Amino acid sequence: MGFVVIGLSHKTAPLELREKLAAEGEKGARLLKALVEAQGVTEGMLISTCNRVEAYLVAREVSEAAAGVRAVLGRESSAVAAELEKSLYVKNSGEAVAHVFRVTASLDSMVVGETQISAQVKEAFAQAVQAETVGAGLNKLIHRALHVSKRVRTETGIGQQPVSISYAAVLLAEKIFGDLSGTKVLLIGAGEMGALAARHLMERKAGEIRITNRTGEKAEVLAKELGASHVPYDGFAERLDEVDIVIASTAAEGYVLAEKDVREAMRRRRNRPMFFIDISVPRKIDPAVHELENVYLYDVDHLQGIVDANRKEREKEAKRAEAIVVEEAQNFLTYIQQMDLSPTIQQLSKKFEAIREGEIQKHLSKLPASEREAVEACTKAIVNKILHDPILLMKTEEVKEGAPKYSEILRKLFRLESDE
Amino acid sequence: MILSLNVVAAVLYFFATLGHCLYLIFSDRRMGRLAVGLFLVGALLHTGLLVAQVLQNPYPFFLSDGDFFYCAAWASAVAYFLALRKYRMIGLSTVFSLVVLVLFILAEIRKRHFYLGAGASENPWALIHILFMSLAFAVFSASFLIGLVYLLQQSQLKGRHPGALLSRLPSLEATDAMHYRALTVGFVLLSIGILAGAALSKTTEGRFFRGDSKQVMALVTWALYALFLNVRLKAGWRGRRGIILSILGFAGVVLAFLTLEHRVM
Repeated sequence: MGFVVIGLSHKTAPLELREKLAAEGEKGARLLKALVEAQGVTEGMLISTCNRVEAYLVAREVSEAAAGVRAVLGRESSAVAAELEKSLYVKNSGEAVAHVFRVTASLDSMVVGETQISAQVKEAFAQAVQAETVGAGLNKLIHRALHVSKRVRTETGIGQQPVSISYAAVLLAEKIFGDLSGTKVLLIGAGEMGALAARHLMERKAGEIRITNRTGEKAEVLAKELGASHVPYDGFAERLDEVDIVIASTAAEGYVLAEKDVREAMRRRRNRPMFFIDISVPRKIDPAVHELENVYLYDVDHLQGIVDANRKEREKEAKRAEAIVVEEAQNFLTYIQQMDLSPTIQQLSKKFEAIREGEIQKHLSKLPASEREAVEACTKAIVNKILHDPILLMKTEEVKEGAPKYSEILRKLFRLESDE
Repeated sequence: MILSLNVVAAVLYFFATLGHCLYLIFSDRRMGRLAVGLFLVGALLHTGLLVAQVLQNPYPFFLSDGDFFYCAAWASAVAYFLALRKYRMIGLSTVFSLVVLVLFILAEIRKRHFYLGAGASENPWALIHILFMSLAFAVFSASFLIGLVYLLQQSQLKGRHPGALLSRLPSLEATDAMHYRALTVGFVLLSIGILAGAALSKTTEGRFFRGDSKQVMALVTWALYALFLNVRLKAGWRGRRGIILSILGFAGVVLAFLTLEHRVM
């Protein structure tokens, strides 16, 4: 028995190929069923996301299973065999375990440290459980993988820093104001980037969102969509002191907010902090406002700089996470080996056989051949009958759960040498 | 016995503070939890020792610098848990852990008596004076460090290089509010402490103000903090400018508490 991973990901296959293999819903269920019916496969689950299509299997014989699964994938997808052959990877035993851990801990993701993948693995596992294609092996593997993913999140800072511009802006707002529920946001312009940032702010429960735009209609449409209020463009700067966060994403000409406007607003709001996000190019807020006390202005380049720095930080943290994965994979393999009682069973049978043979040799060596054969058959039957029930019991799931303990007791009781 | 247990508590506080700092650097949450655990054990021991000391030495309790800092360190330990409960941020607790450690060590190395004049130790005003001054000292120490945390965060945000450290500290507004609240509380405690000191002076020497350097320094500090609270309220001196002013106030606190002594009567 061994773990096998067969699949392709954003690292080996272009989007077009991943699309052809993508298997969700009914198609996924059908493919999963075909996979576990392949030659040599005993358990299986299928994970299909926009970045990867992978089958996690328990197989009796790796090469046999790999060939079987390849055939199934070729048959079930519209992909060309040659294309598939180039992009598919097969990993087994230790490599497979480490890979599953790495994927679940988001170390193999396109955006390292993103949080979706472990939920996707959990979901794929739940589907496989429902389809009754998992047994003890995959059950242990996936539970351990989720544990490793949690450990990586706890012990490293891998997912802590944002790696997208609009999300970085939202986190900066939280860094300044803390809880956003008491803040008011003004969106200048009805551009896409600005709307995205406003949406992020709403997800974070920003108190109120106002939208202003040169052409009123566009702003009104967006306001309706976002559940925001619409503020007339003329003279919006005069009410600037009422808002805490300003997002500028407009194509208007020149600066829409001058240093003087912001200075006035700050005076009216008694220096309570303000945060300006200028995602327009060219910039629409006078850069000099950043010099004012308690005013923070970030433009696209500043936000991009933060995102780049965070990416580097994630890569550094990923190295620490990698060490955790390697350690956990090794521990898991040792654990699985201990779970396997078959070497102990073999040794036990061998020992009984040796005793039987030795005794016959000692006491009955002078018997005529015909009688001896009868005695041999009889003693063999006795040994087999004695061993039958214990061996049967050792193959039950209940005993397998406590395998290391049973193995130790048997070794002590019957003085089985561990290196036999 | 109590002395050696004090060393144990100091060691616990030391490793707890070290753990907090390591958490800030490596963001390993296990390390953070361990640090909080160590701090909790240290604080429980500290509480037990404080109670034992008060029981062993019936009124007056606080007669030396050592006792003063011991009490201040304990007040900061309580503040540590209050802050942890409210903000659930181990990064912020690092500040309090550091204050506790420094005050606790000061308590151990400064065990000489106060120069309060004959009869002062039997005077209830002495207890009130020292108790409130020690609480004020603890609160001002914490507010000073919170102020530094604010300046650090503010300079990172102004410099547009917010590091990973920021994610382990509360927001700028929360830090500012906490700093303001701590100063308000500290100011009230300091005012009561100064008034009690004046009353003590009146009962022992017949006049409210003796004009020694420590009294002068305490009044200067009080005036600086009063100024801070005032400009913040009236002129909207929030953030950096106000905090720099309060840091000047803390310099006054340190000078008054550590370097100058009440004149021996």
